[in-house]
Amino acid sequence: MSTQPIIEFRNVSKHYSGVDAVVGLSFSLVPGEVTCLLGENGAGKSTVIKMLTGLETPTDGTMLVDGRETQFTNPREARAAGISTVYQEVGTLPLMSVGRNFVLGAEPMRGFGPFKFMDIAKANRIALEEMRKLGIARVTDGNQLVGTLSGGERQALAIGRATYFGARVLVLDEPTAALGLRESATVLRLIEKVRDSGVAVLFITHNGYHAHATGDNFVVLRRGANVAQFSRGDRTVGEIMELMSGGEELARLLTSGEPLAAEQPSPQG
Amino acid sequence: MTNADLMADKPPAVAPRATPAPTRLNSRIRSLLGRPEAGGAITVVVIYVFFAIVGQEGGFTTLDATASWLSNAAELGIIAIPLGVLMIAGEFDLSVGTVVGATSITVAIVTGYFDMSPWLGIGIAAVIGVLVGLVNGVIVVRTKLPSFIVTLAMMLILAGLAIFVSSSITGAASISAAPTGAAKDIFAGEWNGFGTSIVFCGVLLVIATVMLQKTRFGNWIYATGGNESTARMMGVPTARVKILLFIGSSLGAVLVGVIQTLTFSNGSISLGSQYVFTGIAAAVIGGVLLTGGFGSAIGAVFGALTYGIVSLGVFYLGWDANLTQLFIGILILVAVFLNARLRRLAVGRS
Amino acid sequence: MLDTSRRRGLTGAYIASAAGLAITLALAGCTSGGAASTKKESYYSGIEIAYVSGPLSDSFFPPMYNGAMQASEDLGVKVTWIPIDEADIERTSVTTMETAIASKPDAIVVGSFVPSAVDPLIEKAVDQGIPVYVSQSGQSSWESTGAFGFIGQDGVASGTQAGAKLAANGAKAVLCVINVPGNPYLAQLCDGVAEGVQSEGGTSEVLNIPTADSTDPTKVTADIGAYLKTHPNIDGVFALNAAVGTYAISAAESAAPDRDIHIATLALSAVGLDDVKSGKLDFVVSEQPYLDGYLGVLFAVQYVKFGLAPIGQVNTGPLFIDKTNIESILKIAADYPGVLGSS
Repeated sequence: MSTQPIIEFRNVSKHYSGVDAVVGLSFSLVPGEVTCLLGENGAGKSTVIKMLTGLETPTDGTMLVDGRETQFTNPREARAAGISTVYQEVGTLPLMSVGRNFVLGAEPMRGFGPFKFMDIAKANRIALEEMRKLGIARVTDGNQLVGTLSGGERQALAIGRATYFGARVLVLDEPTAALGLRESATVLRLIEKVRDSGVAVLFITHNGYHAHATGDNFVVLRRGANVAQFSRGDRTVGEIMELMSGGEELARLLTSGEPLAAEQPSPQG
Repeated sequence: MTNADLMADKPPAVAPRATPAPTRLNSRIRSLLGRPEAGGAITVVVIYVFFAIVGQEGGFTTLDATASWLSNAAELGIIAIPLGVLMIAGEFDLSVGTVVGATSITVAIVTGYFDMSPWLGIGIAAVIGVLVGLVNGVIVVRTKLPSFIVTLAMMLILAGLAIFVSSSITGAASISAAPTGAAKDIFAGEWNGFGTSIVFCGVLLVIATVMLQKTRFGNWIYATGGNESTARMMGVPTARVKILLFIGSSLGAVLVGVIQTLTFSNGSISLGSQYVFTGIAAAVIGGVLLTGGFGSAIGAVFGALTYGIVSLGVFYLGWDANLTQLFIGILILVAVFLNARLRRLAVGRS
Repeated sequence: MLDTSRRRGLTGAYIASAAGLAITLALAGCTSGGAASTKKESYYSGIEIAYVSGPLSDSFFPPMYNGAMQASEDLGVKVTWIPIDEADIERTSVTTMETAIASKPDAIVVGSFVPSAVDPLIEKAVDQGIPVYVSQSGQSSWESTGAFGFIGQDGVASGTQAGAKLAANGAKAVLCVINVPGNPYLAQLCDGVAEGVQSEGGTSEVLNIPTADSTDPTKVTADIGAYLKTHPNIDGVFALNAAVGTYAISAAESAAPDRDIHIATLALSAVGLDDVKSGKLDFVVSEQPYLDGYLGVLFAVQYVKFGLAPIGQVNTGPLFIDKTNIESILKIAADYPGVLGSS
């Protein structure tokens, strides 16, 4: 498997009027590896996504795609380069079937001339196959409505859809944020499967545990700047959370059981 | 779990329970009941049986009566089908009623006042319909204002224009026209009381169903109504979809305007003003979801049939005609409950 | 499948809807006696008449309805009142007539509001062997349809007489207010008014009240008032039903209090009669719709039984009520509400 990074950020910054959303960020996305982008809300994660998906362009620094300097001016260019994003809201339509959801925007057709029709049978087949590859066995009918699927299964659909239609880079924006423990575990397993198939995954999250469980590389953002970059095994969960702002208190709470600083009796008594 | 939860694309709040494996018949029935038109189908059958039994003595089941309510329901169906499809895409068109009136005046002025070929009047009306739909669609898509407001404004604009033009040219709000020839036979023809509107409605039903179920444009319609931003993210040209559907809904109104004007040999600006209410009611009774993303053309037809049966059936029961509205209102509520319940069935975990 | 609290909520909803439906059905059962009155054993027992006319929400029609119902009681026959919807005139004119035919009555009495649409249906009924008598509307074309007679007034001629009378009273520019736009008969009435006014040397204009406003008193009053303000030459108003007459009086009082405006209406009401007495209205023109209702049923019944009916048009109007005959009229209106006009 090639280890040349598909995406490389070199000293990338993004300034909005008066705000430094991202400052001097450098990292790479390598096929077959999960890179976790960690940070609290407002740390700059969504700006990074926007630059990757072509909604914004960097104000400083360079972005390289397959080693070549590139600037995406719109989302279509990013998609054409093989960058797919699955947003927090997953982007599936609960009142439409699994098959229809899967092929939305790229529907397979059959027939010819004025009688071109959607090949629903094929759509269902592809959808079920891709989801099975990701380990989802419970969904057996391509016609069932996506609303009947669990959160994890819907993520599988969205992720399967992205990889089937040629994603080389999969950007996952907070995929476990709205899910419970069991569903989150399903999604983490999905991420591993996708990684194993050779896709470069950018896993954006504020959940240190989930990151720790799946990540190969870690980039921690705080107020737009990269405060840490390390590989799997270099840090513990507690250390990871400490690196995210506000994490110090929580980490201490979890690891030592000492009372929080705010609860210490004030000197005035 | 409410519809809102489903719309928000969040996982269901209830943990999946272990249920016994459903039998094949069970799942067949389940999937049938989960179809958007299931509620409408049940409603129309129940309503028809009711009126057939209670209204039989008054003549409801005679051929004459059937021809009457069926032709009427078909006209409502011609409005409700494209309106329903637009609602599936997540938008409303409150201007349909005034498009019927404007069409009526146009055809009547051309045919009755100026004594020219009805086809000219029909052609002009069709152009007006396309323009109205285009304007509605472009404004909604560009300004992102709710279609409810935009089409409401269009309704008032069109109503004012119609009466202005009609008064200016003819000095009247109602113009008689006595068409002859092919146009009359095609649009106002009838066979034993069964109007050609029934044929038009049938054809429209087939076209709309094939489009929704079998084409990728249909897939786009459901997606646009289900969640427009998701659809756009997936590359669906939602703006184009909506504009085309607004045009479709206006053209449906034009067709009904032509049919009725040639049938009554009379054009009037107030023709069809009821359709803004009855069209949406028919779609809703037939299972079209008000928030978009779910529904079917056949459902809209079931809704139109239901409305047609009730609005004429009450006469055969000798009821006070004002009770029609009370009955329809309660029926709408019952139908909406039924449809919501059946939708829950469709999205329930197997 | 659903948790119990949600299931209970839905069940409650169904019970409520079922209750609602049951109440509707009960109401319907009780009121069906009103729309079609009971028959007692009589000389004409067993005869069923379908009367297709206007809605009771339009103040013109209640006296006609009362007349028809009284005839039904006196003669011991069943009369079913089938009203059109004035917001949807053309379509409901057709559907009510089709319903009347399909209910296979012994005879139909019909007001043909849209003759181009209804006359073919009258022909169809006659072809099927159902005799048809035309009442109040449709006087210009009934003969060719095969109907056996017409009762009412010559609307256009009455309009002409009314217009002439208003002009003779001093009105130079008369406004004719059409409250049901799209009703061809009302348009013809105003044409008649125009002719009458012009014959006395005056001018006439027409105001079409938008359909959306026509059931809203405040709106109609405002619409008329606005017209009076913007057309200061108007010194006469002719309204086509009693309610609009009262709106016209209010409008004149608020929008043009210093102008001497002569107001007259077609069809009367208790308030209208008081207004004639007090001078606010110059006169009211009555078609005596109670007679249309009563005699319409009577003639239909006798035609069914014996084949006898008056030949041609029977005139029930126009009766002009002004200061010269108001007193006696007022007494009848007081003693018998709902007969002369709506109360």
